[in-house]
Amino acid sequence: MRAVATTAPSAATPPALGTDAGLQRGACRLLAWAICLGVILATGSTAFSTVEWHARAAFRARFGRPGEPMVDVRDLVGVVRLADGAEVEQAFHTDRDDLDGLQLRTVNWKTTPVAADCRWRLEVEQEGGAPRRVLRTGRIDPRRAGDWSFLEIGFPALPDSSRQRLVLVVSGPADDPGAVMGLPLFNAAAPHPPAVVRAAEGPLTGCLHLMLLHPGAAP
Amino acid sequence: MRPARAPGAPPPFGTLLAAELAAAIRHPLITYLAATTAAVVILFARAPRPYVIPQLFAEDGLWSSLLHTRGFWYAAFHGRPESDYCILGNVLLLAAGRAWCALVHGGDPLEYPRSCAWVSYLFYGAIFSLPVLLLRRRLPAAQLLVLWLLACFLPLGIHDSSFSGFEILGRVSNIGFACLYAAFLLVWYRTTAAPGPAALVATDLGLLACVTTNPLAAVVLPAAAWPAIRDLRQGTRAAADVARDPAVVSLLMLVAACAGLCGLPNPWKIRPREPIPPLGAAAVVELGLARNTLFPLVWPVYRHLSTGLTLGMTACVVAAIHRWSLPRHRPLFLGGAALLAVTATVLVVFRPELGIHIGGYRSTFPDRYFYGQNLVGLALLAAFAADVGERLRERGWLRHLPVAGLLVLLAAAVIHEPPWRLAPSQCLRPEGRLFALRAARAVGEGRFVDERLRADPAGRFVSIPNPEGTPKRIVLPRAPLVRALVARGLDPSAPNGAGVIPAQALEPLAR
Repeated sequence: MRAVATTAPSAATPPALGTDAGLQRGACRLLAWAICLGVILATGSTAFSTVEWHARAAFRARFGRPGEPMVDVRDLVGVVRLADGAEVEQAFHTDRDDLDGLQLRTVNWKTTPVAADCRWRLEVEQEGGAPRRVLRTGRIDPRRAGDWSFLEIGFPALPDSSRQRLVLVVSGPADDPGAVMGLPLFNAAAPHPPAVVRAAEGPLTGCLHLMLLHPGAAP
Repeated sequence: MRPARAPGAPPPFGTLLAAELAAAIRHPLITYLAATTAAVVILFARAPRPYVIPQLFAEDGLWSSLLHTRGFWYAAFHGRPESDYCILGNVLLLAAGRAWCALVHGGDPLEYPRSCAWVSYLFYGAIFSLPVLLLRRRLPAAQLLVLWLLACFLPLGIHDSSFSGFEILGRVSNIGFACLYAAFLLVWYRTTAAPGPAALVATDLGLLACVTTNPLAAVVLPAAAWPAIRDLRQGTRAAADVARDPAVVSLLMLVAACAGLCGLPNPWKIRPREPIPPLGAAAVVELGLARNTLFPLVWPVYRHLSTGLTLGMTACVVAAIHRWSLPRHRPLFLGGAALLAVTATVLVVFRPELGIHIGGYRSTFPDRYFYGQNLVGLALLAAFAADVGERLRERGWLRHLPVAGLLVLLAAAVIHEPPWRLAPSQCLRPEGRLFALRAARAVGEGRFVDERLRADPAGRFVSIPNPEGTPKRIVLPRAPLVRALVARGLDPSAPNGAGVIPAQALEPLAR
């Protein structure tokens, strides 16, 4: 039979402090607590970092590239339904060259819009009141429009975008397919040209909520 | 074969360490720290936005501005412009966030919102884990574990598109109602555990912090006097003996400190801009009973409730508690019911606008007004489950039925607001990610102010416009902010310095 003490030391009378046994016991207790705290800290940090990594990826996927606001917006003025040939024009300016995308705030009234013929075009204003020149055009899939979220429009970069006065025009289908996307208009926090609205909603004076995208953003 | 140990010799190091490790793992403080750490991770997973995309939201910005410009005590006692009560706990946490920022991020003000978010998760994790520390001898381990998990997964409207999920976890501004839960647990512990002097002082300091953060927490203080009152009524102790009891002396000092620090709260000072008519009977039932009291039990069917159903369920709950609770928990249920009744009355009388938001069982928003009471409800539910389990302990597998019921509720909560999916509420205010960009622009535009927030080109603070809502501006210290911007490659003194700074340079998600 082995003569090794197997009972926990705490069950026996604890050795007096200052003795070898007492010091060893104190050191063991300190080490045990350090191990426990270390394990808690390490596990917690690892779990926290893992959650953070997943959350960052999810936010990146949700928010897209970081953009600069065309202008800060405040209160909601109204929402234009992109149907029945509705069209919204928004003039804007960017400080930087190589504009290669826009993020447009949309609403969908918590339904998934049906596929419809929504288009956008980017125009540049000409000197002397000449008609605007179309720089880029494309289609928007309304099914991608979220509720109060941003829809990204990408296009080949405009090398001299800082020297041009640009106008974004977004138009809806000629008919009303029912579930459609909408463009909210807001009061601007600073002076800014309002959007020009041609829609059944009538005259609305407010700005689109636009974010301007340039190259170099994180994926 | 190992040699036998000589009599009187110390046990081998490994044996000793294993024994000490086993003792440490069983120690309540280690269990509590482990539970708090796990809770922090769960809460962060549920609402990661405040940490991943830091932003000083609502009163966090206002009180942080006061903390930076006017100091801790001014912010704590004058943080609410209405001066209806003090917010010591909120400002304590913001100050802790500032200290954490100084310690870990070298005082970089652009990291201050992230530090506050971290402190907030830690606070909520610590409060939600309190039962593990305080009630381990009062509730069975299974009920305790389920109560902890239910608190961590309490539905908070995170997967709705309302602001509830955006404004509680990770924020400091709405910790007040967690103090109500903490106060309830502390008084439960204080009246049943007969704590020693050190624990008594810690408990009463905790209660003081709760009351000076949320005056509603004072409602639980009379319950702390219950043991003394009971002894006097039963004649088991003389009045002089009771008066010398450290618990009574400490309680009297606590009440005096609360009254001295807070004064008497005056909720009439807050009046809505336009008078709101008093709530009707149906709205009172909905707000006071369904949302305030029964919600932790009925949330899966909350939107299908009606006045009749709510009254019927309340009657069933009262009857069940009366029939199956054990006598030792009766004072607890009475105290909990009184607390919930007082909070319901305060909300119905002083916050009738809540009826507009939740009217007709359409929405649970604003959850920030109710989650504290819901946590109290969960604690009562766990106590009731313990009572029923004890009554059924001779009935074989039936004794596990109460815990199984709580586990079903927990599973439903996890599925209802899954922490592994990014919730819609976390994607509100997408422009909030531009906080650092706005700070850079404010420096570039020379928006400097003095400690009274007056424009001053030589001011020590920067006023950052905040178009995302109240407050309209956030004030941060100037020198560290400029240093932080320079460290990120921006020279705010350059021509057009901050005016053309690319957003990407200050983008939190680009890390």
